[in-house]
Amino acid sequence: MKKSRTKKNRSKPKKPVVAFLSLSGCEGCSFAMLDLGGEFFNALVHHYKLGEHHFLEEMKEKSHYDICFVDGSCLTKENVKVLKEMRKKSDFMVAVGSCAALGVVPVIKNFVNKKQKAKYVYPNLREPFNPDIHPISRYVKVDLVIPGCPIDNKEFLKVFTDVAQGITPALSHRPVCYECQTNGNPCLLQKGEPCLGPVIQGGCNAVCLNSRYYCRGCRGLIQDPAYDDAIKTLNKKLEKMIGKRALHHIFQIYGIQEDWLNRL
Amino acid sequence: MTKRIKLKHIAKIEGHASLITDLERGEINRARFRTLEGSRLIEGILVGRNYQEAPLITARICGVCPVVHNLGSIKAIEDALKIKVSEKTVVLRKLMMMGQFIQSHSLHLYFLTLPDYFKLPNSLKLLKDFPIETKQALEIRAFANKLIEVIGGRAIHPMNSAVGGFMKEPSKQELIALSEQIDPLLKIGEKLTKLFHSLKYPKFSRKTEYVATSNPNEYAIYGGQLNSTIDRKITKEKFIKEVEENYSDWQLIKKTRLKGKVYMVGALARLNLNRSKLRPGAKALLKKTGIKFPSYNTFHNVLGQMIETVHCLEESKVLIKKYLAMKGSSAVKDYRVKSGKGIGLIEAPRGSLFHVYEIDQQGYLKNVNIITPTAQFVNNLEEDIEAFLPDINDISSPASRRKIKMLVRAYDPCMTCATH
Repeated sequence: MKKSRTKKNRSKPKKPVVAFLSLSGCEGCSFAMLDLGGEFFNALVHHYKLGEHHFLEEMKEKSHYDICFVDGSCLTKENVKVLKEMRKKSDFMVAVGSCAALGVVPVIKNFVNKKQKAKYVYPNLREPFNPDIHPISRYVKVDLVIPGCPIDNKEFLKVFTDVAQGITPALSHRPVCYECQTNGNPCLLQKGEPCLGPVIQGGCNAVCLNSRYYCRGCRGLIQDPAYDDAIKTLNKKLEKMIGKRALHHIFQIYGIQEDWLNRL
Repeated sequence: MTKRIKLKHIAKIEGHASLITDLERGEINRARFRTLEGSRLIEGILVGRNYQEAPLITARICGVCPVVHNLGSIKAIEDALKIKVSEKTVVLRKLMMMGQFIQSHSLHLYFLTLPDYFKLPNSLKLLKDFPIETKQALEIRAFANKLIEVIGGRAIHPMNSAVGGFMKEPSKQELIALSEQIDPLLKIGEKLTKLFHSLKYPKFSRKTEYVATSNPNEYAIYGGQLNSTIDRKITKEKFIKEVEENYSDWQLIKKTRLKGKVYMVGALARLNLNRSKLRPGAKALLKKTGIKFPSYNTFHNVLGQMIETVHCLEESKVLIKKYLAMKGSSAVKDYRVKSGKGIGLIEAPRGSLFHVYEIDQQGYLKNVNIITPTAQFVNNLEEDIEAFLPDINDISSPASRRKIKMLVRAYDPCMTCATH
C-alpha cells in the first residue's frame, strides 16, 4: 500500500485534458488566446493534454474532458446541443468572454422586435431560429467566468494555468476606476462625460479609458450588493447627462441592462 | 442516382462551415458551402441605434478582422456625414490596416494552411516539427498586433479610432521601436516566402472575374476606387446598386453576383489587378516565383497573402517614417450630425468590404447593409469546387477530401463575417 502510494507520488501528475468550444460569436476571444503566441502554446503543452480545438486541430471527439473553455453564445439549436453535450463530458467549465458570460451584441435582440430584425436582414428566410440571447449559464452550469469583450489575454493566461493545477484563480473585484486611476487617466465623469467605470468589474487594466474611450461595461456589473447605491447614483447622473434612451442602448450592447435595472 | 459527399465540419477556418457536394452519375451536380454559424442580425440590430455605436458593434462581427469592420464603419459614417479627416488620421488608419493584414494573413498562412501542405494533422504538430519557423511566424504576428494596439488601443476590437479622427495620439517612442523591428522581420518574410513558394500547389485553373480596390498612388488597402475585371469603371455607388445579394429562403449567407457573374475578391484579386503597385521587396519576391499573372489558380491566393504580408511590412516602415515627420493633428475633428447616406469601402484581408449606411437627422441609423468578402466569394468557391472535383479520382477517399478542404482553405473563408 505504502509502496504504491510512493510510486504514485513520484510519477508525474496526469495532465488535464482540455477542450475549447466556440459557439456563435466573433471568435475574438479565441484569437486573444492565440495572440499570446508562445506563452499560450507553452502553457498549453506544459499544463494540458489537448482534447479539442476547432482552430488548431482536426481531431476526433473524446468522451471526457477535464476542463472545457467556452466562448460565444447560443444562436443556433446546434449551439445549445453541443454546449449541453460538452457540459456532460466536462468536469469543469469556464465561460470565456462576455458573449458566453453576458450575451454581447446579439443580446440587443432581447430588447427590440427580433422578428422584425430577422425579416429586415433575411426577408425570404423560412422560420429563422431566432431565440432570445442568454448567458450560457442559463443552459448549463458554469464553474468560472472570465469576462471581457474581448478577454484580457494576460488575465486569461493566469486563469488558464491556475485551473490546470486545481487552483481557483483570484479575479479582480475592484471597479474599473481602480486601474484607471492607477494608470493616471483623467476622470471622464468629473469632466462631465459618461462612463460606467465606477460599478463595472475591473481587471481589464482600464484599457478603453487609456484611450479616453468611456467604459461601456463589457465586463459586467460588480456582483456585490455594496455597489447598489453607487449604481443608483450613477444611473441618475447618466440619465441626466445623456438621457434614458441613449443610456439603455449602452447597457444593451454588452447585456447588462437587466442586471442594472434590477439593482436600481 | 445522386451520391452525396458531406464534409460535416471544415476545421481550421475562421468560424464553422460545412460542404455538401452532390454527384450524379459520377459528375458533380452541385456544391453547397454552408455556414454553421448562427446569424447575429447585426444589420438589423444597428437600425434604430446611434451611428456612434456602429464602429463598436460592427468590430464584433469578426475577432480576426475587427480593424477592417471598425474602420469600414467609420468610413461609411464619414461618407454619410461628409467629414473629411486629416492626413495624419489617414496615415494612422493605414498603419492599423497594415497590422490587420499582417496579423490575419500570417495566422491563415502559417497555422491554417501550412499543415495541409506538409500533410500534418494539425498546427501543434507543426509547432513541434518546425520550431524555428513557428517562432518566426509568431514574431510577425506579434509585431502586427502591437502595431494595432499602439494606434488602436487594443489588438482586438480597437477603440481609439473614432469618427473624425483618433481619441488619443499614439506614443512616438512605441512607433519608433516598432519601426526598428521591421528590417529583421522582412528577412523572415523573405524566408517564409521561399517556403510558401516551394509548396506544391495543386494544378488548377478556372477563369473568373476579380474585384478589388485600386489606387493610382499605392497598393490599395485603406482606400481607392473600386476596380473589377467585369466593369473597370464601376464606382462604389454603382457597385452597391448593381450587386445582387441572394435573399434565399434557407441560407444565412447573402451570396453575391455582379451582372449575373460570380467573382473573386481577396489577395489574388488584388494581385491580379494591382501588383504593379507593390513595394519593391514584395514585387521582387513575386517576380521570383515565376508565376504568370493574372493567375487563375485559386491556390495562388495563399502565396498572394504571403507576398502581401511582405508588402505590408515594407509599407509600415514607410508610413511610420511619414507619420513621425508629419505636422498637424489626428485628434477627432468637430463635425455636424445630419442626415445622409454613405458607403465605406475598404480592403479586408479576404477582399473588398462594404458598409452601407443611411443616417437620419438625429444621428440614428435608418438602413444598414454590410457586404463581406466571404459572402462575395462563396459563389466563386462553389464553382471552383465543381470545376476542381472532376480532376479528383475516387472522390470520397480521404485524400480527395483533404484536397477539397485545401481548396476551401485557400480562400481563407471567414464564416463569422459571412454570417454576421
